[in-house]
Amino acid sequence: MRRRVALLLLLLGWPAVASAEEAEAAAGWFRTERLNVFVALVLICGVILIFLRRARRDPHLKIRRIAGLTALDEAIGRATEMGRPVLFVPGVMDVDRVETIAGMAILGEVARKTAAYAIPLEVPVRYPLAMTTAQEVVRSSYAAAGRPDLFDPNRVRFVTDNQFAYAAAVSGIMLRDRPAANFFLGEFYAESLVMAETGNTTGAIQIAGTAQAAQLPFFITACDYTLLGEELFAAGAYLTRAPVLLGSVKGQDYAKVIIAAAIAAGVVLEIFGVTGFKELLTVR
Amino acid sequence: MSSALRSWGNAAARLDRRIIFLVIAAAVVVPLLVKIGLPLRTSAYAQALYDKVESLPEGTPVVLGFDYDPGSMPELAPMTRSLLHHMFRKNLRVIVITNYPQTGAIAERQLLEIAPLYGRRPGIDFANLGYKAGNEAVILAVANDFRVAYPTDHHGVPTDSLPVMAGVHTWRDVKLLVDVAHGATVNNYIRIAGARYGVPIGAGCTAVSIPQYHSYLQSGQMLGLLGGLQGAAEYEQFIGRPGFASAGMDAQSIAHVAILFFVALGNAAFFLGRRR
Amino acid sequence: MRKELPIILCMASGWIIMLDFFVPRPFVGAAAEALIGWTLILSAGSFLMGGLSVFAVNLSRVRRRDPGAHYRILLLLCLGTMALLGIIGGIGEGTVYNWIFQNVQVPMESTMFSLLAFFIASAAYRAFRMRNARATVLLLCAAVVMLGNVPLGGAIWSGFPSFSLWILGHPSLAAQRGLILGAAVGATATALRLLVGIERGYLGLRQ
Repeated sequence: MRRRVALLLLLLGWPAVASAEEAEAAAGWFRTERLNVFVALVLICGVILIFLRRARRDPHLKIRRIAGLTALDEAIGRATEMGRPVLFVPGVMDVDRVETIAGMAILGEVARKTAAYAIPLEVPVRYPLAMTTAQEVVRSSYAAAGRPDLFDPNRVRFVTDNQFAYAAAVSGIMLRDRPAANFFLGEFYAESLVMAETGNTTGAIQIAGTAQAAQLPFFITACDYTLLGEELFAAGAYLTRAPVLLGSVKGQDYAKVIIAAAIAAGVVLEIFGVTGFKELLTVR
Repeated sequence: MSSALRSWGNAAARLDRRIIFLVIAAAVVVPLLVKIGLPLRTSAYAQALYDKVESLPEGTPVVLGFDYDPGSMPELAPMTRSLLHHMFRKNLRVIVITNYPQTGAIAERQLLEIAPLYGRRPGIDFANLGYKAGNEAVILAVANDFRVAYPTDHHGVPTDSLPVMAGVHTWRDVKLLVDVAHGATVNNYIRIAGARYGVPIGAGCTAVSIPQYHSYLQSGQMLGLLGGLQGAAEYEQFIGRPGFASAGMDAQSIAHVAILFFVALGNAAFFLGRRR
Repeated sequence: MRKELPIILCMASGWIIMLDFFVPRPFVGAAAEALIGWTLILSAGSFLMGGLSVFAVNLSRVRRRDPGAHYRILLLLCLGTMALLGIIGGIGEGTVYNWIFQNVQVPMESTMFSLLAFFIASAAYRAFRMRNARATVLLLCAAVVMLGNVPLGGAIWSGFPSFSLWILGHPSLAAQRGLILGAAVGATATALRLLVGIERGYLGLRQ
């Protein structure tokens, strides 16, 4: 694996090496003005990696209950009883966004469950690249659940990249197909309330999650359960209980402790007129 | 009496949402037809953005991001219009970019309408580089060269041939970036163009996004903000050209009061319906 | 290899972009620039794929005579018409394509956005209840901010705008910062898992 990575890096870098000028000598090997970012990154990533390794040795890490994720089974069970489909919206942005990646991870788990219960899963998507990713996720999940025959690529489809046309399309799906469970998990913007409120009128159980702080109030108002901010990123760990992911979540918590400590230290130092710490944390 | 209040409370709690919709519609439409003319107070953040644009010398290259789609036009188009009026009046070199496919045409229409009022010429005083797919990748590409990210402008003319782009290669050559956006593009510009390349950043946003940008304003990562229709109205006031946003503030005032009325009604229904 | 290759590509691309942030060597910058260029090409090309997908999905549903097939026919007609108008007549100012965009699509989208005002009002009526002390404080803050952001609020009491600004700049900002920082750490952890090849959820694979 490592050799393949090295080979690929070389292949990717070769055109650059071939065309690079010999003026490199004056460029240096490290942007010293970004040393503070590097140190912070090493610190935070180091903590996360430490817990990743620890999780491999001790897989029994505890994670607090997240109501929205516990209700996932309840929502899918409800859809099974009613014989109605499940709607999953993996955010309204493309796969270059981390929240979309997090949403896709949850989509995989939801797809496994819907495959096991043989209920239709609708996944309307706003970007074509996200569509191919979602199709691959759902196909793999259906295959893993032993029901590859149930996978219908027409149900995981690109609708439009236009924000409100997409919201109108999703609202139309909710009003026509009447899914029993709606999942809004990913990155959302102004269309969130249109979709959540429409789903609310259909009586579906709704679980939402986003790291966009501006949209959380709308989801909290219109949905039954809402994952706040980083609970969305912890969802993969919560649902799969994979030790590595649990370790990552644990590492995140300690990283937050480090950040909180830095903030506290900065506040105290500022109060006493020591501004050097603030300068240390400025990104250049 | 008590049971009458309780039954009223229960009935009010089940109020048909269409009645709410009708009242909101009336609250918005009537003030647009019957002008009230409430005085507008300006905010420090909008003033800061205006002052920054005002301080730039003639010929300074500035980038104006049109990062909204037609859905957000009523709130954000007055901002870009006012900014264009101001920038053209100051004879700045205006470079327009967008992350949305349909917004190139919206920007073009505004440019063609406003630029001639100040004698500004396309390609010479301003350029519409149009839309490029890729979001953050485009911002990173501009860090190498505008011509890499935008080899041609919105009309297919080579960017390198435009006199307005003379000496403007990367973000470091841009003296101000104002992104009028309804989405996350402002965060991307702050994180990449602002943090890495030191471009002063201003923004215009929808009202719902205002709270999240206060952190950037307080930390100095953003120098000014136009928030929602109010922000647009403030800028119209600064440049002395009241327009759609200023006219809409009366409607917004009445609509906010109407929503607060319904919230109060809902709580009254909630408490009365609970009484024993 | 089918599962390994995407992971390797993801890792390699991520590390090159990361290195570009810290290492000023031209060969690193050139590699990153090449990757970014490929991203732009892929993004643009994906829209062609998306258009074909829309066409294929809706055509298959029309053939199956699913309920609402007549709306899908209308969608396909509009898709084809706008595509032809754009290709044949161009998309600049003065073209038919541009006229339809400015006079049909723009008002339609603005209308959809305007629905938010009605939805917010009905959601506020349904959800804003003073069930406990915290909910009451939240409601009062919401009222102050709503009145502080419009001229009428300033006319009722001159303190509304400054009080609203204080709420947005202090307690609200404190909560926002906490959310943003938490989400940023979560995003960092997800990105780290992508960089070391542990995160496979986007492929439908379990870790």
